[in-house]
Amino acid sequence: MTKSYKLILVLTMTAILSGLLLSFLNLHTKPLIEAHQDNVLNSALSSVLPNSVKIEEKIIENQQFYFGYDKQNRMSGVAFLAEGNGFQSKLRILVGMDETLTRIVKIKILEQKETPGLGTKIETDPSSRSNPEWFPNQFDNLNVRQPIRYVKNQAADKNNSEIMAITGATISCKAVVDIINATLNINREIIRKNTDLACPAGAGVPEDEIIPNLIAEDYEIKVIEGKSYYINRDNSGKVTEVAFTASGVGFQSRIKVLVCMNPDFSEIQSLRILEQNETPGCGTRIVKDTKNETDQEWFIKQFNSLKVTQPVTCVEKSPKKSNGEVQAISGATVSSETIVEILNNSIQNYRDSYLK
Amino acid sequence: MAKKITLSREFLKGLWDENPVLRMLLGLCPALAVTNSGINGLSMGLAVIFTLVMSSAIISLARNIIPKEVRIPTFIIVIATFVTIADKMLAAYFPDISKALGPFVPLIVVNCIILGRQEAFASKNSVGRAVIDALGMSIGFTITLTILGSFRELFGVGTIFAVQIMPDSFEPLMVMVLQPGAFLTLGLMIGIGNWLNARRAK
Repeated sequence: MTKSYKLILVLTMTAILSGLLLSFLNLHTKPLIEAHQDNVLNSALSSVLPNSVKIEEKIIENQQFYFGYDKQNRMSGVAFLAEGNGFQSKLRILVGMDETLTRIVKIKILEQKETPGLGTKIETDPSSRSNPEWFPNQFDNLNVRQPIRYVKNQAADKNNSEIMAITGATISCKAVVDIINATLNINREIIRKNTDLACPAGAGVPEDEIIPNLIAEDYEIKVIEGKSYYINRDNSGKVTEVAFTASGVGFQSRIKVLVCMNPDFSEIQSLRILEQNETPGCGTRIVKDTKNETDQEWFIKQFNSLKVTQPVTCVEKSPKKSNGEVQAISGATVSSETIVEILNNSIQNYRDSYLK
Repeated sequence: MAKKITLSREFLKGLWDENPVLRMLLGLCPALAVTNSGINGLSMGLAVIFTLVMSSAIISLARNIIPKEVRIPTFIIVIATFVTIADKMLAAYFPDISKALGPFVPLIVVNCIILGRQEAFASKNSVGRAVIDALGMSIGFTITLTILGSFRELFGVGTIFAVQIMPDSFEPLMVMVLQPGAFLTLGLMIGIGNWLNARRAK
């Protein structure tokens, strides 16, 4: 009996002492380890968002975003984490983009455990003495209007979104490219849905869902004073259309609209509702009026070629278009008025910045 | 019991005659896995020195209290405690090394050298002898791993401890930093060791 008590006592005491010692150690090292992880992320963030003085962290639809702002508190870039499987390990890549989301500013490989000497070259290549980070550096200022592609044994054309793969580590390189492309697609859709940033469509989304009456495939995205615009040009390079997105709160949901203006901002060319979740059968009539049999889209069509040199007003009946009047939907007055309000709030603002 | 040997012999035996990697073929898992560069081999060795010396000291101190029946679990708890300390300290103060060694630091717990020394030596000898033995064994381990890592780094990357050694025209032998390079180098080192011993015996 006493023997077995001794066994239990010795083991218990050892375990308790060990537990105590380790919990004290943890108290001491935990803040240091966390501070180090923050440091790594922060220094990576400031290198991929070089023009930002303030970085705001946001989780939208389960994706982590870092929005960068410059000294005037204007949007100056967006960064996000791209994760996926490489050749033999998980890759975590921090991707910094400019504010138009058409160009990668810089990428930073945060985590990889690829084959030493081969796959690890996606982070650093010790065999290149002059530029050991030549692979990740290829992504600096890379145009990503189209998906990134990799080429082998030939010079990469950066304007064509090409990068050169590492000989002997093609799969790791392909993984980096695929992970960035896939995450970019998902994140662009999230950004388009949830913010007023202009942003190219993700793969599989028809471009004309963003900007109607598309002339060239490569409409331009421009950010002026932190506001982003889609700019459409004709073949001679003359601006034909300027569009932006704006949003406001309707009767029960956030309403987001795409406003296409003529280049001098005197007239709305067309209006499109991108997002709304209003009361079905009532508020939703701003998109499709099921009670009007001749033209279900009559409400939104009222805005076509509407002069906006004066504020738009919402009236009950017989609107005079020349006075900037539109007719509200009876039974969905709040939703109708919200649209007008969004326009009045945003057009002035976007006009001032653009015309500068 | 075997006759007492001098303390210096106790220390030196770990470096050569009973070198854990080259002579006893213990702890080969980390010896093969982390030695793709000199610094990784050295850091692994340092972590083992810390764990082995501390565990041996504690086990030797407590050798008269620990009942025979629960000695192995007790050894493992003590070893695991010091390994966790080493792991956390590395992560807190040397994050780069901690990142490079990855999961191999926690795996020191099951490194045969450490449990082996507790069972074979520390639990039967005085604290002084146990520490000297632990130092000898772990330093022997460290030297072997550092040489192994430096050799692989030299031929696989062209550097030793990240200092350029090979001329620019040298084409790195990729195989040396991959897994086969570890087996080739370890085999060569054991072979050379045996050859030297055979010559000495003549």
